[in-house]
Amino acid sequence: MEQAFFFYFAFVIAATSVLVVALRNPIYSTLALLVMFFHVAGLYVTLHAEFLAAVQIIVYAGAILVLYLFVVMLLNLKQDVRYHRQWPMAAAVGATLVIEAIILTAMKGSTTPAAATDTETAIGGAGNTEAIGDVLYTTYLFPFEVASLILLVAMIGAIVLAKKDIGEREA
Amino acid sequence: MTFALTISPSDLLLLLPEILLTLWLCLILIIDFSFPRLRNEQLAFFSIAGLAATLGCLAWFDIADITGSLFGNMFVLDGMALFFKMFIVGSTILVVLSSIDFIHRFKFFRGEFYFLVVMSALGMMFMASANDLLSVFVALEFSTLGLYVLVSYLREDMASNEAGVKFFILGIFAAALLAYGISLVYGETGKLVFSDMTSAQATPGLAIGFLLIFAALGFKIGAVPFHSWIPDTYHGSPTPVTAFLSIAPKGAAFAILLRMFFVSLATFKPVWILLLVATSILSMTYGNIVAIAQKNMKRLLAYSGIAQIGNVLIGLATGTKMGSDAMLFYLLTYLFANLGAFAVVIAVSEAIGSDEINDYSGLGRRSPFLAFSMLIFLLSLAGVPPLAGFIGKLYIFVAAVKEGLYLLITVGLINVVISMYYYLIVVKKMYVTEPHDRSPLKVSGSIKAVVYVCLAGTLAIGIYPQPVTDWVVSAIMMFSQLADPTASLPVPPAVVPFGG
Repeated sequence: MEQAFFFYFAFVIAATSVLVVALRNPIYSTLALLVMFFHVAGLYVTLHAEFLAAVQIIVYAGAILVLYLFVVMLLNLKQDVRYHRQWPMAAAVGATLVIEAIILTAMKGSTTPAAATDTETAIGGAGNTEAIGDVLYTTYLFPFEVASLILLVAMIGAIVLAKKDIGEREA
Repeated sequence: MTFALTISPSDLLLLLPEILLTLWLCLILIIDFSFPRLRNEQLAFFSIAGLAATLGCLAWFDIADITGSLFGNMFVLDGMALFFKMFIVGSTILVVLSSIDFIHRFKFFRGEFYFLVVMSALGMMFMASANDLLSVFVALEFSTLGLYVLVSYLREDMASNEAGVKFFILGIFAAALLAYGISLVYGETGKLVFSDMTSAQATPGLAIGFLLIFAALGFKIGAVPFHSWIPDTYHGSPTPVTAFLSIAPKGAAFAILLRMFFVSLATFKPVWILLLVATSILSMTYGNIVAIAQKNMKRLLAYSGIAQIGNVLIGLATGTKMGSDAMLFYLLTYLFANLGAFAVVIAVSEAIGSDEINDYSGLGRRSPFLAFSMLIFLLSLAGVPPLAGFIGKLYIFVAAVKEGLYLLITVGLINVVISMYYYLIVVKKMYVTEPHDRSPLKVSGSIKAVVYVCLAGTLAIGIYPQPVTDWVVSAIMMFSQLADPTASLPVPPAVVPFGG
């Protein structure tokens, strides 16, 4: 059963990814991306990572995709103005990634990667959202707190760079 | 599995400098917002007061030998972290001081300028203490985010906008490489903390991962294959920001590189030595040769900075305690010479409104003080005795001799000669060429203060390097296992020709 779901999600992810590049209308591409994001979330659920699945939907399908749609609609791209000369670059990048994947799988047998325990046994019964919350406020408190400062910088930075029509503040 | 976090007041003491600076930052923001009529200088001096308090706190830690680690080794406060924090805070003070005159060029958000400078400095302080890949990523992005905004602060100036966009796009590309590298390393080892990775096996995934992390840090320090953002960004940024970019983030990134290569990857030294030797040779040669053709002072200093980073990488390539001592020493001499040179550039650009090298002609007659200071800083960058830069280069080369890196030394020495040529072109312009305009230049008090501090640093370290050498050697006792007993101390000053 689980395998059937895996093949369904994998197939849809692969197919919609191709559609994102192949469709001529950018809005359709974005919508194909949306379908892909949902299926990636489904894949996470089959891996017992429900927190990641929720984040995938909230952040990617929710926030980032809306941002993409805004950009696509605001730029008002004409259908024929598209990049057609990019395939050599794409082929080079694709080939690199494929070779890397082959090397990494081929080497898999020769080394022993650090033993990893199953997620559920590792977190001992608690839901993984709860476990992530626990870790975030204990073990990883330091990066978490620093991240809160990043938000402050980002906020001030965005205002400094983007605010228009401000009266000259006298020095 | 249960998770617990216990933080005692004595643990929080280790975070005191950062907490102090964070609170001070909030104060800066509130004061700037509540008193819009406050003058810039007052806000600048207020920021400097906070930074000085932080510096004092760090100095107290250093003297009282307060060290330790927090959050399961994710945050360490050792001698090296303290050195780099003082390095960062000290350079930030000088940058803020030298920006006081420049700030009238910003039409808006003058107060936020100081906020962002100090905020990036805070991020770099976290970088100096970050002992695991996750903190490295978070702290690095934190400090860089402020810099993106600072680089494009001259909103009406196209060059500044271009600089900002280039820096931003290449910066997020580097961040992506870093994140990918970290995920590979974590996938292979299951560890994040540098000191836990020492027993890692050499797998292709690990190699690719560390290579990607090195590329991202190489971007921060501007070593050669990753330097493409430097010239345009340095040229377009407001000059105090260029000065800041050219020194503080590099110090912080070297702290991370030292932890990564000397702690995590100590067992793979024969492999990474080749990587570092190649990067170092490329940086020195490329930086120095391209610098010859520059017509703009900021671009010249940008390329000379690339070359100087190549010199620092020689120290990293040795992989010994002595090499790392020499690196820290070199960075300190570079701080004074480089910030001093940029302070003179700011003063000249305030007075004549230009950064072109041609407009420096006759500076020796128009402002003997600026010309003389520039002469000293350029000679220190070139490595002429008895200035600080000479001792720095000497230590670096001696450390390389002990490791038998003769190719690196040969290339390094050839590059010293090349660099002498373009530094002296500027000197010739200042002293020999007749000025177009003989009117003397006015220099403001705050710039003078920066120049005096940098002059004092350059001359004092050059003439009497012993206290600094001792400080640097004791700062990184953590690498003492890498010390070769026959070469545990950098050359005593008695061997140094003019070093008394």
